[in-house]
Amino acid sequence: MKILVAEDNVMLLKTIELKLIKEGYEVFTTPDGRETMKEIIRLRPDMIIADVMMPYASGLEVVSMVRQQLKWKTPIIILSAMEQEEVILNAFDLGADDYITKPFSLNELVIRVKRLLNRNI
Amino acid sequence: MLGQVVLLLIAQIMEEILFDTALLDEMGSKKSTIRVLEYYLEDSPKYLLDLEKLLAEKDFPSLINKSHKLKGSLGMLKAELLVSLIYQLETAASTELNFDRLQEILAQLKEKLLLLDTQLLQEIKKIKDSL
Repeated sequence: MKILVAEDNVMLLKTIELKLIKEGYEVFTTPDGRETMKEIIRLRPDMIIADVMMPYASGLEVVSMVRQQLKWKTPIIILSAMEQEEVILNAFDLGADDYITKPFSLNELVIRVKRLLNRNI
Repeated sequence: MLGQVVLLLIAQIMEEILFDTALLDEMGSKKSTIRVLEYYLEDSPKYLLDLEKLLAEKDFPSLINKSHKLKGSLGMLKAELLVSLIYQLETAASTELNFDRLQEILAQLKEKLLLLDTQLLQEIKKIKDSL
């Protein structure tokens, strides 16, 4: 299973990457929204985990591209901060499947990933 | 003189542990924890320099954005005191409170960030010694 993780905070990106690799996933990473959009088309991942606030294009723009332009049902989890409730609602409106607020438990993230991937099998 | 500084530093470290690796330990590998801590230590000075530059330029929106990113890292380190200082900085910058207050908060943040770096270096050494 291929998971694309988009996050411009290197520490967070590496933390998620190392955890998901340990869980047996094939993980790809991108540091900004523009690169994420390119990699989504190139890799066609089984899941996308994207931060809301990224340079060049936000996580919301990524959700919008996947759902409205590509019309793909790829599961998407949004990473957000505690104070971004309105953004989370927008993400759901655009078609995101789930969200997790920072700081988060990596074990909880894995549970959410598994749940969504199982749902889409 | 140097000895006194070292003692003071040790005393500070003993008094106030600023982080907790509980969330990082969920990666399930001590080597991974070390790697992530090293990534943080590599990034942390850049964040601090950027914050100081943005404050000097009075670029408050970019200051809030950069603070927000640093808060993400500090949250994963469960560095509650530092997260609280970042909140104060964000709030002060978003309401454009007086410049002196912003400088004061950033100075406190800098002091604690440097202490955190020292503590994390100690933690990396401790974990490496235990491998």
